Amino acid sequence: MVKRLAAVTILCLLIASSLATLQGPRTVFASKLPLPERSGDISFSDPEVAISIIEQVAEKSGSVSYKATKTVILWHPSGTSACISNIIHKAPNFTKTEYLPSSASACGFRTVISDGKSTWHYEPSLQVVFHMPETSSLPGNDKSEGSQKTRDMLLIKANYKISLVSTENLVGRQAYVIGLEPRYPGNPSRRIWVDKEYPFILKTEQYRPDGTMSSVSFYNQIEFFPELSDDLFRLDIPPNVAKVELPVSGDLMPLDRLEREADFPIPVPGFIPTGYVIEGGILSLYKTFPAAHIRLTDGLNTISYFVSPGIIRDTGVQDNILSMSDISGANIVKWSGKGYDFTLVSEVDQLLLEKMARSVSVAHAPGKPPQKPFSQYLSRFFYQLFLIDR
Amino acid sequence: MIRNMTCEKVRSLLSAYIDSELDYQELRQVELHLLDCTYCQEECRSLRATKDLLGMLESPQLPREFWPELKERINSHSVSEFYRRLLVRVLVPACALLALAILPIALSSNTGASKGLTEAKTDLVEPYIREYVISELDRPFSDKTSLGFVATAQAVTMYSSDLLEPYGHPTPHKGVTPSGQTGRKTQIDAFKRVMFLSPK
Repeated sequence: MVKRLAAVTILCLLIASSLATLQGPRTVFASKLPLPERSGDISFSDPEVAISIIEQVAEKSGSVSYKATKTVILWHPSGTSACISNIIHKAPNFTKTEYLPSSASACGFRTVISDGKSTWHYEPSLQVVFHMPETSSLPGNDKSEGSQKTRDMLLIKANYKISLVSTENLVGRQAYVIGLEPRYPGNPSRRIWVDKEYPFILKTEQYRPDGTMSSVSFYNQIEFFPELSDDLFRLDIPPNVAKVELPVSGDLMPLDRLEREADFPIPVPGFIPTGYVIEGGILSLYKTFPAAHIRLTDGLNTISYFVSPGIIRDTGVQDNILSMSDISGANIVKWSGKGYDFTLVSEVDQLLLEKMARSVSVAHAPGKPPQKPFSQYLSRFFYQLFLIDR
Repeated sequence: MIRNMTCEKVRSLLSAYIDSELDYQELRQVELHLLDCTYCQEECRSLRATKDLLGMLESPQLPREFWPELKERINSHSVSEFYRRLLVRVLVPACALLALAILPIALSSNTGASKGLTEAKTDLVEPYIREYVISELDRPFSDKTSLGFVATAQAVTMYSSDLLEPYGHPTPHKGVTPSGQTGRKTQIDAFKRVMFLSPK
């Protein structure tokens, strides 16, 4: 009897431990979070709690497999775009998103599949498949991914006030509500709902610098760690569909190397908004449409600065700056001068972008040797005079 | 066209700023400038202090004969003075405004360059937005579903609008699809490469 009891106990322990192993990823977030389970004990005033939560989200969100339905709403000056999508994600790399047709999105059914190496975008209404290799599969990118995340987190901590606002119920789950308020004016703010059990963002609200909401995305329904076979991530393309290769951005490189590879001088803005750093530049791959793309970031947001030899050369003067906005919510500032076309794209305040635009001084037109300043000629003249005299 | 908000411009608006007389756009620009210009901040403080000081002073009493004398002086202006002022203050500015209004119309209708410049500035934003969105995907808390929605929409726009055709790119054939939906001819060979953009 005692032996039987011992055997049953051992068996139960074995089953329990194997279940715990199988459910490993599920308990990772909860066990590592410094937050106690009872919401009454949560220290809302301690920023370290909120920072710890978002650090784990940044590090581990890709490791959570799920099957969900998600809604995205974007508000922009020309109206509102909205779409509902079915998403399945099998950690770490497989993701399939089906954007469902709706009158609000003005688009038909659309499927996007990513396997970590390539992204396939099937557009049935056009009978076209767009294919794009992912940047992480390019040589040399793997080693920099981790350091980029670390740097982004350091920047976010420096440039944003991160706070645990509250806890809420969302799609039948408990979530921490985290606020990311910019320390410097002119930047968008964000509010994210992080699942209490897994390091996963259930809802995101983004606000423009003036405080109006620019986008919201949330899950209508979500199931964590479902059974997902690899076949679900295979794109069955009907015959007679055209394949379109889209260009992919290369590695980020330092500006001096970018200038060498671009083969034209790249004027850099004299003014950079507070909190932003230049993370590097890439060369646009539109060959007959060459552009150097310099990326600036404050950890959370990006400012993309494009310099391209102009279509109309030698206009001589700095032309008027044209500002507009896009359905993505991004502000776009375009101008041209001295043989260059310039474009700034970002969600930061238009006035900051315009200030950046005004701070770009073009020394000389692309393709021309730099003009030596008059002082250099003068000093050379006196130098030679001095030598002759001596 | 943007307003060039230099220190000089901000200082000219400071009085109206303190009196809350600026419109919303000007108010934002002045406040943004004041955030990082200590010189103008000091100017603003000084002006505010002066205004506060002036506000504390009592208004002086005008002498009883002030208003009748002023009225008499206004009426005593000669007719020639009236015409001279009309010329300087009305006719000359009117002519200048007329010339300014006609000049751009004349230029735009005569020079192809100015027309091209306008086109160059308003076109070709899709590749930039797409590259920006791809950059945003790298950020730790970016919402990949909404960015993917925008990026795929941009890809469709670029493909549909024959964006790069004027710049020498081969584009897919146009025609009528079997379904008649898109106005674009389907490629007969499945997965035939349509390189309308040049990959690395």
